[in-house]
Amino acid sequence: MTRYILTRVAGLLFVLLILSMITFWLMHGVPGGPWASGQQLMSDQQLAALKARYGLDKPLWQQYLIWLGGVLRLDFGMSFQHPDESVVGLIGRTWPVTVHLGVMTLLVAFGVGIPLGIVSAVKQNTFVDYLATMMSIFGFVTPHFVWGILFILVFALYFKWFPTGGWEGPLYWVLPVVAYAFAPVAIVSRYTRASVIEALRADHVRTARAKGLSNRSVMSRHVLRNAMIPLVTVAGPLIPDLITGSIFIEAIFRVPGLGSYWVTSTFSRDYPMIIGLTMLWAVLIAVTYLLTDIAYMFLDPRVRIR
Amino acid sequence: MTTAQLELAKQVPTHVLPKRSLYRDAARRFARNKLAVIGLIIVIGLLGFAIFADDWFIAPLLGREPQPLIAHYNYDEAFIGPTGAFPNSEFWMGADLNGRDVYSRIVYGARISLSIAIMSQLVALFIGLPMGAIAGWRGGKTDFVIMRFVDIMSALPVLLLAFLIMLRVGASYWNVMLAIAITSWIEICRLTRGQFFTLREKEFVEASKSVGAKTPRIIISHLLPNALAPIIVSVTLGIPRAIFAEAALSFLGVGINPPTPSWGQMIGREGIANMTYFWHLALFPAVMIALTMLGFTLVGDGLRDALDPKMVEGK
Repeated sequence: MTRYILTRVAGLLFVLLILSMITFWLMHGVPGGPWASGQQLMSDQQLAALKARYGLDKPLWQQYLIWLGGVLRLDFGMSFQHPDESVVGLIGRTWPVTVHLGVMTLLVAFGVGIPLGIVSAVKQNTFVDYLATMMSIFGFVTPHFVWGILFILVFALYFKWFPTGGWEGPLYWVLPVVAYAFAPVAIVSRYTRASVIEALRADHVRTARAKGLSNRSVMSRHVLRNAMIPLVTVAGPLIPDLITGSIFIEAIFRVPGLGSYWVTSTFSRDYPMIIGLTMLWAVLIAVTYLLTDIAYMFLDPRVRIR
Repeated sequence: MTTAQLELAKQVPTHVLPKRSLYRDAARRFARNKLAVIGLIIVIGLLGFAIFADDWFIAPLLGREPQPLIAHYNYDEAFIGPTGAFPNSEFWMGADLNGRDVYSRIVYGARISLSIAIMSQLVALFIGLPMGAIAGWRGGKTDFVIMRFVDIMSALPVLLLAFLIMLRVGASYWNVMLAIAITSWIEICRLTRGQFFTLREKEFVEASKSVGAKTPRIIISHLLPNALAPIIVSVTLGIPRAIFAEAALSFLGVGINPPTPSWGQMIGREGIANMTYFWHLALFPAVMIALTMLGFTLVGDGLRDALDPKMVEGK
């Protein structure tokens, strides 16, 4: 077990190293530097001094090694857009908003998705099931920014029930969370339905019924407990997606989170910020995948390593 | 009759049954699936939009520029309507802030969206299939190297990687197509590898090896046909994802360059900013993106159900 985790972590570090190189290479190749936008009037000497200050005059491999050295000390550099703020500080300031949005979305996704899936599994091939299926097809297929636009048009502009955007209180949270949660609700409910149906057909469930257990205790003790295990594999990839946030949801609803910084930092060639955010994304994804696999081994004793 | 004869009699009908291929069976099952047929109708309608937006196929013969056919105007013809006009009988979906006909731009947008999505998936197939086939067939070190590469590629969200690539290479039609292709071959590669891994251990492969068939022949005439069904499904279901990716990149301003219309770009450039008043600028492209993704997803799901060999009847 320990050995398995250690090998996985080593592999993860290797992947992250390569990924950081690719990102570094991609972003430094982008035409135009951080101060080439023509907004500031600078003499050549000033520009050269600025570049020297941030180490941009050195060859790329040296810049990379300097960056890597900083990362080992958990120093991701200073943001170019906000020269008085470090990348870590900026992420620390804006990420909580995104996490807040993401966690609420996760709660909705599981809070609605699991009951919906159970109901449509138990009432299989009835009107309720078909309705849930249609809902999840639409939820899954329609991109969240389309939901966002439709919701703003209908609920904010036509009915005027909710504000069109911003992040100031519970009323502002409703539309972005619902728009963002549609697809995860669909995914969770489809998986729940499939695995509950499978669990319902299992022999031990028939035995439980035969020995006269009440429907409720069959469901809770024998069906649902087994049916929830596959959900771990669905939940895994959802979590990093949701807590790193959606650039589109944040843009449409003017949520002051991480996503908007991603866009502005790429357009202003804010190198430390781009690579900082990219690595944050990659680490979160890699770690959740690892945790999912480990959780799976604990939950399902049949899963063995190799 | 003796029991042995009975056993024999049971086996006869399978030989007498008319020979049906998996694909003909699949087509029948597909036609019986209502949702899949609805999806197919949507897809065909959109393809009609894309192909017949203007008469590009006869214009060169007549020696003139293509003229709008289904579209009412050319996509970049400005100030033909009042700026920001709401939908009316002349401008079905209104006019944008440059006075261009939104309906015509939506029709031309179908061409951009569908062509990029379909081409990118074909390119992804041409990268992913051989890579997966080599990894699955050779195994060992080759497999290890290819799969570590796949691991690295899948450590980032697809859209993020495509976005970084687009920043480097610059916004253009071909670049968007390639960026999406580069980020979507991974799944096809994984799938092909998995299929080849299990198939190469099967008895019929061993049989053809023992009669002296060469590797390319085994791969092309034994492994590939057996591995094809899930790969077809994966490519079909990749199309809606590619449509989303193109829309998303154009939305962020690194996709299709104006004045060429793209649904995502129409939302991102004018739609969002003016939504409180000119609601039609964001609504129609958004609905088109959703409709297109719905169509291709229904077709893909239908194909998956139809091609599942576990569902073959008459067995």
